[in-house]
Parts: sequence; structure tokens; C-alpha cells
Amino acid sequence: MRKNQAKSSNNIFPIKVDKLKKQMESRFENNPDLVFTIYEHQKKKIAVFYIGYLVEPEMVHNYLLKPLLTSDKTWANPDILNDIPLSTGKTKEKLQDILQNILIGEVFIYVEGEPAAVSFILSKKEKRNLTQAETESLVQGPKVAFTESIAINMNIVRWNIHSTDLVLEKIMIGERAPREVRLIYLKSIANETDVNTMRQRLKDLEIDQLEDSSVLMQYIEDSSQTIFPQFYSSELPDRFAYTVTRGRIGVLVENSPTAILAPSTFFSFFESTEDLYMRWNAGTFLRYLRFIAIIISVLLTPLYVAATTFHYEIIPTQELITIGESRAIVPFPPIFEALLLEFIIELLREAGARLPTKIGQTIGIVGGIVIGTAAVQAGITSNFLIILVALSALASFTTPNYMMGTAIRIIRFPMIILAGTLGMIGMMFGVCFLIIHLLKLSSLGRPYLSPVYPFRWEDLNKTLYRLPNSRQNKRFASYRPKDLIRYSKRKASKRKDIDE
Amino acid sequence: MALLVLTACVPTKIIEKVAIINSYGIDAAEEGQIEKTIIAFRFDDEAQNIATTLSGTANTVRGAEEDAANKTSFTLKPGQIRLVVYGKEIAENGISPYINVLVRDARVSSMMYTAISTGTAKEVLTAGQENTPANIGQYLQDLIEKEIKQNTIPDVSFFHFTHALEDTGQDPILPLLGIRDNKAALIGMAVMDNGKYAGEISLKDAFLVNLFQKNIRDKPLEVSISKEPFSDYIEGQLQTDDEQLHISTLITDGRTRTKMTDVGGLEFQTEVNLKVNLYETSEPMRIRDEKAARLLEKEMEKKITKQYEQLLASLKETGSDPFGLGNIYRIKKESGKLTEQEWDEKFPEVTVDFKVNVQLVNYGSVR
Amino acid sequence: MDINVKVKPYLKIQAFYLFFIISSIQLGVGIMGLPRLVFLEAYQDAWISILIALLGILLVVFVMLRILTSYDNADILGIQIDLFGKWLGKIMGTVYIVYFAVTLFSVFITYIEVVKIFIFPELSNFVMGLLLVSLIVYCLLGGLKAIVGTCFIFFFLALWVLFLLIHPAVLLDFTHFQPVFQASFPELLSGARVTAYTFLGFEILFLIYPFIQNKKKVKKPVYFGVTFTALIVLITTVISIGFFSTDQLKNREWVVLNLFKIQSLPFIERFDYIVVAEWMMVVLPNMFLLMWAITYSMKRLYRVPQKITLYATAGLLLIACIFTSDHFLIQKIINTSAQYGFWLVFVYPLLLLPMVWIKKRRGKQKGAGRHSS
Repeated sequence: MRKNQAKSSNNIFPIKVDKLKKQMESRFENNPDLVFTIYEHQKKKIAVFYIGYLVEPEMVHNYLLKPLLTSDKTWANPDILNDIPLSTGKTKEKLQDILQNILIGEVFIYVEGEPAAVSFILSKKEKRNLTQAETESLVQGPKVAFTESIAINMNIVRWNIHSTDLVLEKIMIGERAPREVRLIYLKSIANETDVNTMRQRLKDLEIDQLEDSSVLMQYIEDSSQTIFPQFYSSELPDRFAYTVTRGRIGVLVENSPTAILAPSTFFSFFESTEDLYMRWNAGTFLRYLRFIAIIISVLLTPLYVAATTFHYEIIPTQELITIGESRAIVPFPPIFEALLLEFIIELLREAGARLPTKIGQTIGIVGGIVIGTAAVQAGITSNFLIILVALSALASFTTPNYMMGTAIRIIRFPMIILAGTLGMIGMMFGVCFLIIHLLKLSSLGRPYLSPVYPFRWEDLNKTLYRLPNSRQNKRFASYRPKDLIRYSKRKASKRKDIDE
Repeated sequence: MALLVLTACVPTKIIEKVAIINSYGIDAAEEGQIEKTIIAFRFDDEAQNIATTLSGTANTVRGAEEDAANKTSFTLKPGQIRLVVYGKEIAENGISPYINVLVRDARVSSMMYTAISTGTAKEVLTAGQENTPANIGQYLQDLIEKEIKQNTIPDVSFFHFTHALEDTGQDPILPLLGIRDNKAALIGMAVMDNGKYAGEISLKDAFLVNLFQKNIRDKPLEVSISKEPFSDYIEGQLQTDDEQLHISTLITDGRTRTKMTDVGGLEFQTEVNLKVNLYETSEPMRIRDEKAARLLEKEMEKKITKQYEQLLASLKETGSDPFGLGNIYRIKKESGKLTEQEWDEKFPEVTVDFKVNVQLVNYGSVR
Repeated sequence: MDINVKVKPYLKIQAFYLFFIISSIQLGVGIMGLPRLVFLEAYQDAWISILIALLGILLVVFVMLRILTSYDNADILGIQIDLFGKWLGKIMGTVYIVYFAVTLFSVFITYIEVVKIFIFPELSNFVMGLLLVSLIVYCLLGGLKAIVGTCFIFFFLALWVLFLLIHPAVLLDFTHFQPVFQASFPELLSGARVTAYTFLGFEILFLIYPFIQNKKKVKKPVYFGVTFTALIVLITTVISIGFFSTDQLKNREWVVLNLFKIQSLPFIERFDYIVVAEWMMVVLPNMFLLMWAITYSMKRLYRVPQKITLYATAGLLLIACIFTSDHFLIQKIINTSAQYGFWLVFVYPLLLLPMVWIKKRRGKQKGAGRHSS
């Protein structure tokens, strides 16, 4: 393959039309999809070739073949480019280029004897309409989500960011089946080092083909050992625009409805654009709610396991009696009980996700209630634990990013095992390990835990809490954007006394 | 597999697999041995009541526990002990060695209560068990806690108790539990001296001790004073032939300050300032003018002073100093050090000049 | 070996982190039993002893900073070689390494003992040791930046424990502090002396100094760091003395931990359990920094790769902790570390400064600015 490619990257023109046909057909293994017609016009052989179902047949007929064959000109490449009433004409010399572009719906015209073939983009693409976001839904704010078409996605991005500064670099990734990837950033703001790193990582990729943006993310992440996503993936254009205008980098992949945003901090996975749309105090409250939710989600069930297995001392007597009585009929040790229940919850979630939406919801509710009630009655689990497990599952779904939510749910399992074997000490070990682990991570070379460490006071109001907009006029300084100031602060209003 | 290895490192104490001691009592048994009565929680789905009573006899507290544990299939765990009752006989010989067991074990809570029973501890814990709906340990604990919350008795939580016990200039007091109407009840307070039971005081006196030690708010107080001076103010016919006039008040603010007036002569002066609201009088009476109010205040002051003096006199007899006068003495003393023995010798020579100052703030809506 | 250290710019840390580095290496296992020790020496005037100790430490820190600023970017290992020549300098450097190792071991073993007393009497030293060692190795592999990060984050995550002290603080018995000024001056001094083990750790400044980015701002965080530690020690000592009676204080080994037995919330109580577990966050940065000091010094002095020292020391720690479970042996190790540390950390820098001055003057007289001082 490599050898073949080396050959095909040479200029093959000029070439006999018949020979070209043969070559093309051999490349497509005599595939009937390849339409290769040879016309005789003004004593010259003209070859027109394309893939049938990738182009708009009417367009080809009306705007290409009609002018081409009805005119009495002797066609040469410059004439074709000038006189055909289509604006996307380009000359292509290399066989590899031709092969690549014919696959995305270009139509090629080759006039025998010319040094290159001319291509026009007349592609037809089947696409779905814009829909509401499903994995990241907002109560307030724009609802539309990215689709699979990169052209539509770019269109949406452009509509969101009207700026000539916006750069959409095109990079093709994939050796065998290349795919278009766009590196998007604001030139006057984005940190150049970050852009270069990202571009380098994308260009250095040598893979056969790219399945999706989430796969691309895994290829270009800083550490592949960790469970935490290091780049934010979002299907929300408003989130994309919000992040890019604050000096970060976005990556769009053809045929993928999720965009990659980098660099990202650990805390950014817990922000939702909705925090922005809400008033600042409500936004802060919601953000804290989510932080508390992760703590609950990771530590609540393990705490129960640790307390009932080792540290009954820390439970006040009244609760001890409640917990003890509900545990009395359970035949398993708490660790097993908790793992079982967490496992059931995960099953329900997974089943709900795989099934069609409507059935999924029903299964979720019915399964949850039926299994929950039955499990308590059968004495497999205590009802106290059911509440805790449900609570921590609920808490884990508050994370706006699906990947982070999944990571947090998975962390709970080792945490339960540690709590069930070494009690509080085990839990503490787990927490310490997690924090050290997070400290060692980076996203696009930037520390994952910034702005907490390395500490930046002025960035805290964008991560841990929010302030009124008049106090949030700076971009995220930890990422060293070229232009730190978003807008100049309103001049501090003259201090007034009460009755003035 | 790895799970099994890890599980093996620390023995588990799963709550339904162990019996969690909630309270226990210690009594003297024959031949210098001790008998331990344990009330423990067992979370067993077949048992009617989660509380079970066990008892064992041995030379040491732990030994007795072992002995009791032999009678059950569960291991006994001490982490949730909420109440320890010492029988009077044991208490008279000193409870320090038994306290030591509790202090040494880091797993024992500091928030529990220790108490002394009028008879044997077993009696309180078992006789009571039959007549209380909840388990007796919990019941007694709630009882003591309620009195502390209402400021009737000083805080006798374990850490306060050990603090006073190991403080040279102060002696602890403990709740005295007994049986009344076939039910376990709090019947007074036991004063201790050198870790030994020295005597008992009534709950009323316990309040005086509490008032001496800290500021009191929102505490009802009933005082009986002589009726005679108020004959002018009492309206209509006398309701009863009682010589005493009972008045019920609410202390809104009670503060005490004690200072040493003469170090060599062991003389103290205590100022008790009470701000009270008048609630009820046993005879209908009208506080017409300031004079009446002052009179009432004065009579109350007299009465309370008398109560304090009586309390001190009886405490001197027992040799126990729950007020903590020794600490005040130690501060004033030149060396700043005081041994337990020294204070034991000096305490009976102490004189305290109680100056009670009652201020009636509110009389209700009746004038 | 170079006297001055060249540190790559991306390895440098901001000066204000020194506050967290110093206070987290100082606060460790020592503070848990300190109030009792000071009380035994200076009685109710223990708080004065701590203030005296603070003054002493501020003096030593001042001297240390003077020594460091006389060089460009040197650490103690380089300075010693500059002063004493290659051989003696290396020997003194080794003394430091041994000191760090002994202190590390004492912290390590003391925490294991506390966990065994308060939470798991049946826990084997090996399992607990393995947990701690694995965290040490894992964090150390992230380098100094990760270590400083843990210091910083754990500092805040452990801070809430202070709020638990409010409850015992309102129960203080002020008569325990009276009469004041009873202890004689020698008693106060020996009270200050026993705080040495708790306050040890700021000598890390001698090693970490070359890694500081903005050297002009070093002073403030260092002084604040030691003052903060002293403040925490002071608070816990005052609360312990006020809360416990004399005999209680004399008899209880881990006085501070006993303070956490009385708080309760509606759903949880017995915070001593939680605090002992939480204390892992207090001792870990301590151990990370000491371990880093060992590996880094070994590299500076003998060019041993840091990873090798790390694995070797971790292995030795684990083996040694299995055989050390006797309480009095542990006390002995702590005492050794305290003694050793007292002379090395508190006294030695005072002797070092005049030597640096003499050396500098001689260098100037020669007229050759060999040292960039």
C-alpha cells in the first residue's frame, strides 16, 4: 500500500484517456459505481468521471455536461475553469488527489493531452436535520446540537462566532480512508503554543482511518492510562463558541456530531453553559451543587460500607439501630451488597441507554422500582443502602459531561472495595490517590487541576464560582491567552452614600 | 482473589455480626470479683428486641466481658457504649480502676455517661428493662441527657467527668440512678471524693452546683419562701394553711462569680446574680409597687443563700468539692500547685460567703 | 559537583508555595502529642514556650535565608562543599540525608502506630506501610511539581479539621492557665526544646531554594509558614491545656486526637476516627517532601538516579516498618530524630553563617569574584 501510494503521488498526466480509464477502473476494482464516460468533442477526447451516487446528477447534467458538449470550443483546462458556470473548479495532477476527491463527490473532467484534470465539487450528501442536543441538554439557552456534517457544523460555528479572526484549519487524518478534521481557534486570542501542540498532534497521527471525534480524542490525549477525559467533548455549538472565544481550541471531525475542546481543566467538566445563562448567584449555586454531587457520588456508598463493616462507632445510636435493623436480614457483607446494588444500577443505566428512548425510560423506571422493592423484600439488600445508591447514581448524572460522569461512576467501584477492605483508611487512600493522580494529569500540556494548582486567584471566578459579569472581564489566565481582557470593565461607579 | 487477600488484612466488624454494647453495669460479686451486666444490640432478624442482656463475672472488667461473651455467639464490641452504671458497693470502694479501662481504649466514646445506682447496677438495668418500652440503656441515657439540656444538672458527659476526676481542685458528681415505681429513674446526684462515692445530693442541689459552674438561661426555678412578710399583698382568703409561699420563676439569666477573699483563711466570696421572670405564686398576690417586688426579691435571695449554705455544709461533711473551689484556691496559691490530698484536708475548713442577687424582671401580665 | 544548581525553568515553582511547603512539612505527626510534652516541661505556661520556640525558629530561618542569599542559586549541599571542600562537604551532605531518612521513618512509623491505636488494632504494619509507600512512590514519580501540588491541595483539604476544635474551645477552663508565669525560664526553654520535633522540617528550604522562581519574594511565605505552624501548635496546645485537666494531660499519649471525640453531628459522630484517617492528608506531604529530599540529595551528591533511590528507600521503609511495632522503640526513633534534628536544623545554620561570611570576605580580598555572591 505504502509503495503504491508513493507511485500514485506522482503526476500521471498527460495520459491517454483509455489508459486513464483502465487505471481508474483497476483502482476501483471494476466497481460499477464509477461512472467513466468518454466524449468526443471537437476532435478531442474528453473524459468525465465521478461516483454516481455521490454527486447531484441534475447539476452534472445542467451545469457541466451541457455547457461542455454544446459549445463549439476546443476545450483546454483554462477554458474549462473559465467557461463552465461553476465556481469550484480546480486542477488536480496526482492520482492520489483524484482518488481522494472523487470519494467525496467531485466530478473530474480530463481533456486528453492536458497536463492536469479539472475537478468540480458537485457532491450530494445525505444528512439529517438539525436536532436538539440529547446527551447534554440545557433548560435555558440554545438547544441545537452539532450534526454529522462538518459543513453544517462549520456553518453553525461561523454563525456563532462572526469573526474574521476565526481560523478553521483543514487537516486530513487517515492513511487509507482520510477524513477531514478542522482545527478551529481565534487567531488573536488563542495561545500559540497550544495551537501548535494541537496541530502537531493531529498531523503526527498515522492511522488508517478515524472512526469518530471521541476516538480522535483518545489518540491525541496527554495520558491514555487514566480514566479521566482530558479534552472536553461537546455536541453543543454554544459551548463550542463559548470555549473558543475564550481562547481555547476546538476540533471538528467530519461525520462526528461531537466537537473536541482543548485544553480543559478538571473543573471545566463540571461547568455547564447554563451557569452562564443563569444569574451569577444561581450559577454559582448550581456549580457547587455539582461539586457536592461528585463528592456524594464517589464517597457516599463507600462511607456506608466502611461504617457498617468497620466503624460502627461513627454512627449515632439512633441511626445505628435503623441501619442495623435494615441490615439484619441481609445475608451478604456490606461490600458485596453495595457492589451488587451499584452493579444493578449500572445495568439499568446501560440497558436504558441501549434501548430506544421510549422503552429505555420505561425500563429504567419499572426496572428501578421493581428490582429495588423486590430486592429489599427478598432480603438481598437493605433499604437504607438503596437510598444511598440511588442518591449517588443521581448525583453522578449531574455532571454535564457524559464521559466525566461515566468516569466518576466507575471510580466508585474501587472506592467501595477499598472501603470494604480497609475502612476509612482505605477510603482516604483512595481519595489521596485520586488527587495525586489528577495532579499529575495534563491537558494539552496544561495542568489538569489549574487554576487550583498551579494556583491562580484570578481564574477561580471562572471555575469554582461565578461573579457578576462586571467582575469577570478577563479570560482564563492559566492558559495564557494572547489577549487577557475580554472587555474593559465598566468604570467603577462613583461611590455614593446612602441618600445622594 | 485480590479481594480475598485484602479482606484478610483487617478483621471486619460488620454491624449485624457483632453485638454492640450499649450500656453496662458493674457490681461487686463474691470473693472480690466483679459482675458485669451488659446490654448489647444484636441485629438479628429472628430476635424480637434488638437489645439483649448478658452478664459475666471475673476479676477484671474485660474478663467479665469475656465471660459474658461466652454466653452468646456474637462478639461484644465496645465502640458504642453510652452508659456505664456502677453499683453503690463498687462505687464506695472507688471506681477509678474501672474508669481507666474506658479511658485506655481509644474506641470508647467520650460522649457517654457514667452513673451510680442506689442498689446494684444489675437491678437498675434489668428491672428497668421490663418496664421500659425502649431499651433501658437508651432510656436512661436520654433521661440524663434531657436533664443536662434543661440545665437541671451539670454536664456529666464522660469527658467532663474524667476532667473533674483527674483535676485536683474539683471533684466530679455523677447521676444517681434508682428504681422508683418499678421504673429506673434519676433520683439525685452522687458526689464523689477521690473516685469514691461520698454521698448524695438532691436534684435541686445539683442545679445549684450547675448554677455555680456556668451561666444559666431559660431554666424554671421553684422557690419556697416564708409567707409571713407578704400578708399585705396576698389577695383574699388564704388558699392553704401552708406556712410557705411557693413561687415559680423562670431564670432568664443566671451568673455566678467566685473569688477568693482570703487565701490563708480559705475564704471565698460567691456572687450569684439571677434575673428571673415571675410565673406563678401558690397564693394569688399582687405586686403592687416596687416595694413588694423588692421584698419578694429579698426573700428569694435569703432562701437561695440558705440553700447554698446548707449544700456547702453537707458537701464539707462528704469531703467532696464539685464546685471547683480548689481550682480557685490553686490559682491564688503561691506555688500554683495543689495536690489532691492537700485539698482534701483543706476543703472542710473552707468558708464561702454567698451573695445572692435576685432581680425580678418580668411579672407576667398581672400587676 | 556544581555549587550552584541549574534548574530548568519549567521545574521552577512560585515563591508563595513555600508557605504551604513549609507548613505542611512542619505539621505532621509531632503535633498530635505535642501539648502533653510541652506541658510536662512548662506546665500551664506551655504557650510561652511555644512563642519562644517561634522566636528561635524565626531567627534560624533568617539565618538560613542569609546563607542562601549569599549564593546565586545554591542549596545546602553545594554550600557545604564550597565551605568545607569536597570530602567534608559530602560527609555533611550525607549527614543531612541520614537525618531526612530517620525523620521520614519516624513520621511513617508514628502514623502507622496512631492508626493502629485509634482505628485498627489488628492492622498489620505491612499493609498500612504498603498503602503509604505506594502513595509516596506514585507521587514522587510526578516530581517536585506534583509534590508541591499535593502540599497545596492537601493543606486546604485538611483545614476543616480546625473547625472541629471550636467545640472543645468553647469548653475551655481558663483556671488551667492560672497562675501564669509560674514556670522558670529554664523550664520554659526546655519546653521550647521539646517542640523541636514538631517544628522540624523548614530545613527543606535549604534544598528547595534553587527551585524557586521569584527569589525576591521568598521571605514572606517562609516567615508566614513557620508562624502559621506555630499558631496551629499554639491553638492546639492552649485548647488541650484548657480542655484536659492536669492529670489527663500527663497521662494521654495523643492528646490532640482526644479532642476530636466530643463533636457530633446528627448523622455522624466520633470525629477522632475521621480525623485520624484525614490525618493521612497531613502526613503524606510531609513524607513526600522528605522522600524527595533524600532522592534529590543522593542525586546531587552521588549522582544516583532519583528513581533508584526512590525504589530502594521505599523498599527499606517497608521492610523496616514490619519490624517496628513496639511503642517504646518508636518513641526512641522519634527522640533520635528530634535530637538529631535539633542540632542539625536549629544550631548548625547558626554556625554556618559566620563561615559563609568569612569565606565571602576572603574571596573579596583575593579580588577574584569566584563566587558570584
